[in-house]
Amino acid sequence: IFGIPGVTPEDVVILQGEMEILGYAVLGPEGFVLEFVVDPRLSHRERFINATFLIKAIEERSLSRGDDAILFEVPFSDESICQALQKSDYYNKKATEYLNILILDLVGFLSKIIGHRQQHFKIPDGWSPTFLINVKSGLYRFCPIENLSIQIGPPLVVKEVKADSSFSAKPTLKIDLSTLTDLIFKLTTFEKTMSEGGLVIPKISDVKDVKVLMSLIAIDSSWFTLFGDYQ
Amino acid sequence: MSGLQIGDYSPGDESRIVQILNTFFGGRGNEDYWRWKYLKRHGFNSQDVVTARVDGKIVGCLHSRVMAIRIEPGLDVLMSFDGDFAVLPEYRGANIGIQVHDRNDQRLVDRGVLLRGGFATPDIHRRFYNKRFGHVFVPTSTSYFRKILSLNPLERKVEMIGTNLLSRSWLRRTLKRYPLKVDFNIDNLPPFHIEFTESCFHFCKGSAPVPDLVINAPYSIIVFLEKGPGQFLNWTVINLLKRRLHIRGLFRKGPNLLAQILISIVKR
Repeated sequence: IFGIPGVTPEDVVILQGEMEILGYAVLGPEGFVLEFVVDPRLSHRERFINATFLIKAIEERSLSRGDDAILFEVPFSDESICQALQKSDYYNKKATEYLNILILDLVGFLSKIIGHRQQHFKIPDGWSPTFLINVKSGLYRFCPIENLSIQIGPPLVVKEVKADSSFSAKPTLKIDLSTLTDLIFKLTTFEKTMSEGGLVIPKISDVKDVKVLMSLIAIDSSWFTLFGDYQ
Repeated sequence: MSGLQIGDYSPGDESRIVQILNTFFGGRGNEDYWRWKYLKRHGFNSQDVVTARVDGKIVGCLHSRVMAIRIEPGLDVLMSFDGDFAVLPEYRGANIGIQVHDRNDQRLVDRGVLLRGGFATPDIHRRFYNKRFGHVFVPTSTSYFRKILSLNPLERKVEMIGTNLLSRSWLRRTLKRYPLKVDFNIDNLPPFHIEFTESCFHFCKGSAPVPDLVINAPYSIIVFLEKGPGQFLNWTVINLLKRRLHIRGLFRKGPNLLAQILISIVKR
């Protein structure tokens, strides 16, 4: 933080309780609040009150520096802080830029997600199919994999399968990487993708297993991220 | 394009890179700031800054930052955040941006990076990132809260509103016959006044010598101005009734002004 050109110790505000630090805020260049933290273990009311104190203090610092405006970025699920900001006459500014993503390493990414599900016992008991997935590029420019196999196991094995002259296995499903990305980030549903032909499952008997696979690799959380400009 | 070379950052490139970024985006700081943001960052790799050179001169650049991100508790992956991506206008149309972006795909995979992305407006995302590379927007939970601390942002906003509203001929006719000087005293902000004329809304710091109206208001007037005319009107009525909003001179000037507005609209 102190390595940022223009940020000084006076730009860090700490809220001290009797025995411990209850929260802190860091003001960066041009009124951008780099960090704003209130102890998550406190009750909603305590967090609201502490956040209000911190907001006032960091605002005074911003004013003394001559900043034209002050900007906070917080997760909208953090009601205590959002309410404290609204009560302090901050307005909820509409974003103009949003986070976009593409999957670079499909094998690595699926391996991580399914491995995580296994560790957290989210794989149905006794369910251990193997899937062979034929992957087209869709809108992806970088899509080096044509076929991959997912063996649920245990052990879990996710790997690229090279199609050579001896390759005769029939895929469990055919999908393009753009559609798979939409399914993983829950931008569409399994049923809608099936009905639109974005997901082709040659054998009807595989539909149920593929649906379970898709629900396992889907990511539920929405993303909270600060702009990459400030570290 | 002949003479085009796509490569990585070399020491000494920062001067030209910063010049390009400030030309393209504006407000990207100086070389010290660039060095802090990239060179001094823990884990910086020269591959994180890709440059495009034509005849040895940098004409475009893309910056990346590889970070661990938490998708869910216990599920952390490496992601490359791309940004500060610019190609000088005179060199566009030769797919330089695509080549610069392509350079890092496999190299990032080799570094164990699983995802790649960044921040874009919906228009740029649709025209470029989604169409050319396949990026998708992901659901985000980030909320932005802003508060104006000085008069400078207000001045810009007033001029913008003036340009917009003065496209209405009835308003120009009204203000031609009846220009207004309105003083504003808003909590926590220095006083200012606005001269409403047929040509512009002129923002001035300090109070007017002889204002037509004086408005005393709590700071929340700024918040509700941003929310749109419906909510602002609602706020105005409530705060007038609660006597938090005072408009001095309203009964003296108001009837005349209203008459002028009606005449101007009828004459339309």
